[in-house]
Amino acid sequence: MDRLFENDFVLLDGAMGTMLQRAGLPTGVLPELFTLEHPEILESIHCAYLDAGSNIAYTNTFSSNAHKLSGSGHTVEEVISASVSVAKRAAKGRALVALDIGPIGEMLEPSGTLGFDDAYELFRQMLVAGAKAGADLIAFETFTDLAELRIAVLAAKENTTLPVFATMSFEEGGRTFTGALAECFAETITGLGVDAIGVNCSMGPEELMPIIRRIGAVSPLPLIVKANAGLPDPRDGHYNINAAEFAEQMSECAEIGVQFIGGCCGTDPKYISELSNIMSTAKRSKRTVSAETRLCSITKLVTVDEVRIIGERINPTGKKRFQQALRENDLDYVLSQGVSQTDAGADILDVNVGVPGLDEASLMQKCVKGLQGATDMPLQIDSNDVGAIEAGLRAFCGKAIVNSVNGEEEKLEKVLPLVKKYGAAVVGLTMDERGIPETAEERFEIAKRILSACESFGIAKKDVFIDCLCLTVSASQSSALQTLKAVRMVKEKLGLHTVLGVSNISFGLPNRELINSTFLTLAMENGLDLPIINPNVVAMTDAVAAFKLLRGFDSGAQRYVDKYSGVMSTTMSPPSVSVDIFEAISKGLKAEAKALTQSLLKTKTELEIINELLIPALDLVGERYEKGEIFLPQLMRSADASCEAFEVLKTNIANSGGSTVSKGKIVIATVKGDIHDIGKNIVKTILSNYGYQMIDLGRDVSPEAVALTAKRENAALVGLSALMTTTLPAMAETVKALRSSGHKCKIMVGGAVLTAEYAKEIGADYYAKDAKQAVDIAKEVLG
Amino acid sequence: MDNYSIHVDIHEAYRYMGGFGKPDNALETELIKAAELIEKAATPRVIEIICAINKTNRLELTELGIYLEGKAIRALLHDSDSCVLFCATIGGGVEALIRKWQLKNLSFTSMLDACASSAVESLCDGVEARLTQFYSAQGLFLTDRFSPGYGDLPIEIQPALCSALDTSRKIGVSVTDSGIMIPRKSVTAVIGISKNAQKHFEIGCRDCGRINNCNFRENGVTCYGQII
Repeated sequence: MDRLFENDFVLLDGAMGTMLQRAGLPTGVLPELFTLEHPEILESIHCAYLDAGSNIAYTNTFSSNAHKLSGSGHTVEEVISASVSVAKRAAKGRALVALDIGPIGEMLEPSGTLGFDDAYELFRQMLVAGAKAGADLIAFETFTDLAELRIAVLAAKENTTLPVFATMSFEEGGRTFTGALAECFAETITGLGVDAIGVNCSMGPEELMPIIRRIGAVSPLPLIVKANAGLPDPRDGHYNINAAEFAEQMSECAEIGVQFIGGCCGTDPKYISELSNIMSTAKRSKRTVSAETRLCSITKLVTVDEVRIIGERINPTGKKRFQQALRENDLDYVLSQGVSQTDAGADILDVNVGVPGLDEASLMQKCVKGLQGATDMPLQIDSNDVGAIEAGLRAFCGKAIVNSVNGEEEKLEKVLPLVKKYGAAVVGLTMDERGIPETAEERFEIAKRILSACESFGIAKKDVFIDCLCLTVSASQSSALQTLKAVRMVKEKLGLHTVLGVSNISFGLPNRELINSTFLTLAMENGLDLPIINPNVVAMTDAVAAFKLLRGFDSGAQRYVDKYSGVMSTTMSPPSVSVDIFEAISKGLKAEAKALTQSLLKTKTELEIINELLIPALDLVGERYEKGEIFLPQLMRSADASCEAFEVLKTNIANSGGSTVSKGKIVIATVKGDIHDIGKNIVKTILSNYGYQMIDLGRDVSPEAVALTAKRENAALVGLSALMTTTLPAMAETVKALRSSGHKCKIMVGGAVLTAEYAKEIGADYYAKDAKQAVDIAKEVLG
Repeated sequence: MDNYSIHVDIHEAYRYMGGFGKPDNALETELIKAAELIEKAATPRVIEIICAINKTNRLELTELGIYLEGKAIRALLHDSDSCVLFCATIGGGVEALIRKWQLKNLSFTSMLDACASSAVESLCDGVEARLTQFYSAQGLFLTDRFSPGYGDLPIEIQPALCSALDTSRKIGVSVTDSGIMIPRKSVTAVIGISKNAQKHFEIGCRDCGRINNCNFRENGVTCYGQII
């Protein structure tokens, strides 16, 4: 194999589906099942490609996962071992056999309902079967969801020792159907240590060339192009270029430096033979890969070629309201901190969820998953707990940063292998067992040690970031200078990117913002690339914007002008206080509701505000809704305004160490198999505005999870939502699971397709037509 | 590939949200903003095939071996020997947008959701208009379009239609075990092709399972915008 991989070009094969259709594959029949019956047809197709010059035969196993085979009467092992052995028979040692694996055919969370572990298991079965049957390598192809491909690659790396090829299908513009960006694919999958990456299917060679160039500019790995025979006619599905044109267009691969070439939909052995001819005299050009540091999510690439802001707000340290949210599993609160920082201009989000007594690894996994659904930010996994770091890295699809290691050898040895395995970047703190050294020179020495440890684990220098640590300036004024000096030394002498948590500098001083933003500017001037700051503080993002302009990173001052040109006219006017809280809520005025609640706290307790003002206001809105005077959109606006008021009260209570407002616990969920949750969230929000403590299990929730939680939390009321006729049976099962759990509670059900009769039939206690009725039911059950 | 444009009708969106009449000014302003965001986030894609219809016993899409059950679809296609089967989606970017707003503002989230529904309707209208033009040039007529879940055509048929159209590979639409299309703002539909113009046909609520329990009808409209 090694010898083959030294060739300038390695020829892959062409389309399997096209050939099988010509050989009589009926519509709607899985190709794998057809060739199980007709191995001779499969063997002749493989032989035709190998005779045409293919060096690697892709097995006919694209859809051989247990999900697609369910109900076929055949097992994954059976189908894969049969297909692999046919390919091996055809290859007769003259070519390699690649175990071909495509997407599962179900969408992963958060868009769909397929979980990480289930997807992993489906891939694992195929991979183990393929390795056992004697495949020489693994070829993942036609993926459009980067998260799914990443799980497949992890399963391959963790369960086999075979080389891995990975290709995705892109649309024009370099994004897949699910939005994955070509560069993000390259960065993420290269980081997992595969052997070659590239593109297949979707378009012809001409259209794929710009995309493979982009991938090649980011990844040093060997490249693959397996293109269609042009574009299909939308009416009859025929592809529009012939074998000679295909080969001609593919010959551009030589200049780009693509090594593995072949065909996909619409191609046949003629195409491969033409390709083989044309490439026999071609030379593969040397490629240049950009040396920039890149971080990414699935859809967003962040290049560290100028100052990039790491948002620091997802961190419970010193924030009682945040700690409370984590304790109560109120994920929405945590995620909304991510969204607001994204809107304020963060480029990367730091995620720290360490609270004593809580399972940090599980919280980290949940938050990372949630943040990926709600924002497109690359994440910085921030923890002292190795288990939490791994949980975060495993859950995150993209290239993350790990924060952090330091000069302690034990820590380096535990964390760096994880950084390498998941292809992340890493922050090294310039401290060790002895603490934080006073001088810049000593910190620089530790940075050097960290770099050499990283390199010994195979982590590229460009992915090692150093945090020179910032101490409180009020304690020792010279420390600020030492930090700045260390930043400059690391940047200039080691050539590494630098990270710095800035806000610490002003601890204990008045007017902290002034010190923070001034210090930030000084640090950036000394070489700070990745400040960890609160992007919601305007002075900080302002300092970054001004710095970028003054230091020539903002060509034509375009970004600065875009950001600030409207500032004078749109400066926030203080909310009008001519309305009272009643009116603010009934009209849905969020800013006013917030401001009024803050001032009401001077004269009333939180409970008084809730009982005497918020609830009566919401009741009035509810009545008007019931009478048909207002509709759902208006009702929801009131609920949103009331939420603002409630958040003020919750923060106030948490800060004063009081316990949560709760008129009783309600567990709420969208049932298994259903992913519609807007209706459920409306009900949740309105009930929480009435002071009920809502335990929201989300959507696609199993009956067992609902029963378990209701019992554990001793919730007297459970609300279930379903929006599809096809998911109503899951609602019935959930009611059954609750009843047989022995936990006594009332159950209310709702959702578009539900009726009062059906609610009764499945044994629910109440049918809630809308959010207003849900409130009435909660009042009846919980008071 | 044809280029499809989409357009959000904010009054239609308001109706989807359970509003009746005209939205007030504040709501209208927000709906316009929601409509803009949806139109920007959408990546419309369509895949279609033409199928022969066999009506000897049950109504069958011949080459696909798919049966279309129910009185309504039979009535619609009574004069057609073939039909266009298509799937249209406005893409997953819309869903990511909605997920993000869900954490910021609930009422605006439901406006986005409703605007997205209107957008996918407009996409289907565009497909229908193009097909009408194409077939009328050949002297042929099209029926209304009809989707699983309308009237008494069971929604359970969704996975079979998507699989016949190879939607997952061609336009990035997959179906969950419980029959939900992902991205959610996707539609499959059938349009009959016939030699004669369609006589009066009303999708109607008569055969709908929710006729006695419908929030739209309570507000005096049908889910397809007809005033009762």
